[in-house]
Amino acid sequence: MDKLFVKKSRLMLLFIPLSLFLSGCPWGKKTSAELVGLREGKKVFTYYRTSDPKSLDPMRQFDAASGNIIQQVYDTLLEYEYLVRPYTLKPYMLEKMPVATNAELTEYTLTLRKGIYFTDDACFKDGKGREVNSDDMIYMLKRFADANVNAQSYFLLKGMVLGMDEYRAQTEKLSGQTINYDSLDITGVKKIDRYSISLTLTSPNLLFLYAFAASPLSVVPREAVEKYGDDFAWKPVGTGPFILQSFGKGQTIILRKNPNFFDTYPTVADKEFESQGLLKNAGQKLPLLDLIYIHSIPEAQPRMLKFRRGEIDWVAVDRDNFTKMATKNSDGTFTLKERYSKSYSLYAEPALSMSYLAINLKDPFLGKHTLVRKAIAKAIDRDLTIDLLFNGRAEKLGTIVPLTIAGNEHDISHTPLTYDPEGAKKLLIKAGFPDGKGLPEFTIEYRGTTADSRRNFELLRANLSDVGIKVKSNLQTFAAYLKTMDSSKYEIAEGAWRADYPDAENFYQLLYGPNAAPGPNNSNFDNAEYNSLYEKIRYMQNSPERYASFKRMAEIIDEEVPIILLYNPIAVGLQQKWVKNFNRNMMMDVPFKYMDIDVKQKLEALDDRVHN
Amino acid sequence: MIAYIIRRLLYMIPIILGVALLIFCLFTFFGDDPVRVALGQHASPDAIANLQHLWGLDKPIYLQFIDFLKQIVTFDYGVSFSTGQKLSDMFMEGAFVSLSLTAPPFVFGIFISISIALILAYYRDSFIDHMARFIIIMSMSISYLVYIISLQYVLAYELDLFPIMGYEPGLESITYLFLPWLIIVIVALGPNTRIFRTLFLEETSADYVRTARAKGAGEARVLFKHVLKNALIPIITNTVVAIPFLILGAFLMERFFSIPGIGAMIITAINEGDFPVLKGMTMIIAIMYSFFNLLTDVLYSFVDPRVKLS
Repeated sequence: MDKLFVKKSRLMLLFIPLSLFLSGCPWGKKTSAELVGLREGKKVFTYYRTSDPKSLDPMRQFDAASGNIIQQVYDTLLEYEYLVRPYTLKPYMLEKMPVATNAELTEYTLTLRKGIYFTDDACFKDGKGREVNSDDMIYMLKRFADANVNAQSYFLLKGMVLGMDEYRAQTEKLSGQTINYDSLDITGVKKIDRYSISLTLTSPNLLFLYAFAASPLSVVPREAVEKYGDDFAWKPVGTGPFILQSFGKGQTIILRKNPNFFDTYPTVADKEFESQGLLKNAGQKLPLLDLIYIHSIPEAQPRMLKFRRGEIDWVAVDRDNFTKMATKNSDGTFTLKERYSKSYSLYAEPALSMSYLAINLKDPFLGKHTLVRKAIAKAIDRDLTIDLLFNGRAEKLGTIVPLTIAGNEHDISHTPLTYDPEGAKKLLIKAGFPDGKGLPEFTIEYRGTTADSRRNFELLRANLSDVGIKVKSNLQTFAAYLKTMDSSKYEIAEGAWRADYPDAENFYQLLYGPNAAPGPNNSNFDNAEYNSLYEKIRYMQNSPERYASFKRMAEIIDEEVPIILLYNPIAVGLQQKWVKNFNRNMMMDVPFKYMDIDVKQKLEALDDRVHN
Repeated sequence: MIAYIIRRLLYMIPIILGVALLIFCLFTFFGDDPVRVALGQHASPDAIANLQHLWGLDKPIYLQFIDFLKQIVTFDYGVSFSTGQKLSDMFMEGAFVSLSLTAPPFVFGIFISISIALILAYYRDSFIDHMARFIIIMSMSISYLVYIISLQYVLAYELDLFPIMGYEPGLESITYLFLPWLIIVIVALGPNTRIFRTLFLEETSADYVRTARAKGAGEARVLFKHVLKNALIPIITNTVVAIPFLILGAFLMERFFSIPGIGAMIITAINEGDFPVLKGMTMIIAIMYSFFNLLTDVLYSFVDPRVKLS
């Protein structure tokens, strides 16, 4: 053989495995910063996110990914009880819950707790964080109402505070200019003293209180907004339990403990939670964790691998992993399989959301055939869909209100429509369409093009064809779907709603006449009795009288069938055994400030999992 | 040659204008409404109008197009709808990360593929050649996703040789990039080797090779001195034209290994209807593609003096 070739080809043959080895050699591995922290005795918690925050400026965002970080760094005037269900508001930065001070129930006084400080930052004099005062509350409200700042969450207070809509209209006219908040006032917001402001509502209304627990209404220091300008979105300066230590798009977010945080661990809990040992730290200064690492992990596989390795402390479980790791019991509870139960704990909590099928009442056919709408509702076997599509991770809905919100089907003793294909057939005969003869083929609009949407449709089609109703699907992107809904040019459409606040009103408003498309009432349902009941319950506190109205509204929905109620999803997840104080509170997606870990147990388990 | 380059640069102007018009029309007339995506189900007519105004989408269409052209000329593509970040900053951050993910295994992979292809060309139609071709075709039949999922599971999780995923800026990133590099090299090895082997074999049947052999040149001399040089033109075409796409990163790789490159950025932009990002990225890639095409032509003349640029 040619000597030159042998020499060169040997070199090459040597080079190939060598280069593969070099590119894959294990000395690339290093001890993670989290592990270093744990070994130093710090309480280091590791979590993940599936997408990046869009902005850490509370008033400029309204998405979960941003809200989850903002909640750690900033605080709101009110918040939800951590260990109480149904979800209940409590004072947070405020000294006490606001109570109406006039007979018309429109005047409120908001008084801050004393001694709440912003974290130290260069924006303050001498770099020392100053005490929060009533000017900060006024600044927060003005910035929230500024049309040039807040494009997405203004609906939370729209039409509720005297003069706020007019103020917003003025800011809209000053578009593109830097608005001097000192020269523009909201009529209904007045300073009383260093810690108090008065708030005047346009009409009696208790829903405004929920807005004060939402992250867009977090208290921000004016000095930081003015010093950092656009960069304020990524330089948060708050009063919250944690301080943002490091952030990069797609990289790990690191939060460190705010040693001057003002709040303590709750002393009130439901019996169920108390018996789980969730009050062990009652009254203790918060936060309990020293550091939080939040990795960006959009895909399920690396997320679960990291969790199983112990490199993530808490993870939501997708359908495939749920089937592999857990089972649903006949009583509706969930159990982790034995192989996993030694290392992990399972939680399951109904989400504050519901899914439904909207029927367009403006449609010339479906709008006038109530019996056909009812037949469709009776023909759908929701138990089967829950089993096949959700692996049991959902509950059937009897009313429009999810099961963990006060006023749900159990609270009002409502008897819902049930799966009854024979009844559906009878209804079709009564409507003049025996076995579906003479019925047009209906199109169902989907808000996604995924395999899940297709599977969902196939099950629905099978159910409906059993009674003689023919349907076809139109799978589209979410934006295209919204456009279709706005135009009211559809017959049946998939729908879902996630609570903006945990009150039944937020769900009953989906069928309020004046909210018709392009509002949230996509069915364009407009029933005088329903509307008047809604206007009544809107500003009421939960009471037997309010529940009686809910019951009648639920009956109207079953009689008229503007929507077909489907499911209340159940959020299922796993946490490592060393995680303490965890409670899946749906109004607080990531309750880091209450959570704790057993460092010794975590280190031992990490060592064990790596070496076995 | 300078006149040729100038002429080609001038030709690029109408091409880029055409691409700009096409991109603008696609996103404006056929794309989803970004305002509706952002507001979701909380859209009221005044909220929609307000956001349209903030994003400049209430301007007449021709003014929006002129703004887009200005952005192309000034290389200032404005800010992302969803994060408010400057697109130029996002691009610079993302491009470096994507290149650090794709460029090393790209260069590495080509070198290895050329080496293997030369060996296979030397042993053409032997057992080694047949076996290698069988393995190559088999490896090409497996989906990219399978490589990622299985190698991440086996090498990172089961054998604990690499971190499962992650990224840190600077030199620290190398720790996290080893496994993605390895996968990219393995995935590219099959198709590249197959193409290069074919190119080498085509060259070996050329007249000049026969002449060289007739003159008594050894097989290695023929392969390394003659065939390799002449096969470089199609190799360069294949390679240089692929360079702009390196910046796009490897979508799947970036997602599975949580590497914050341009690929991950584009997926997020598609999901969120972030049109400034999509328009900007598409335009930048189109411009780069034109430039790299020109570069390929210029490189031809260096590799093969017979090619004259006129």
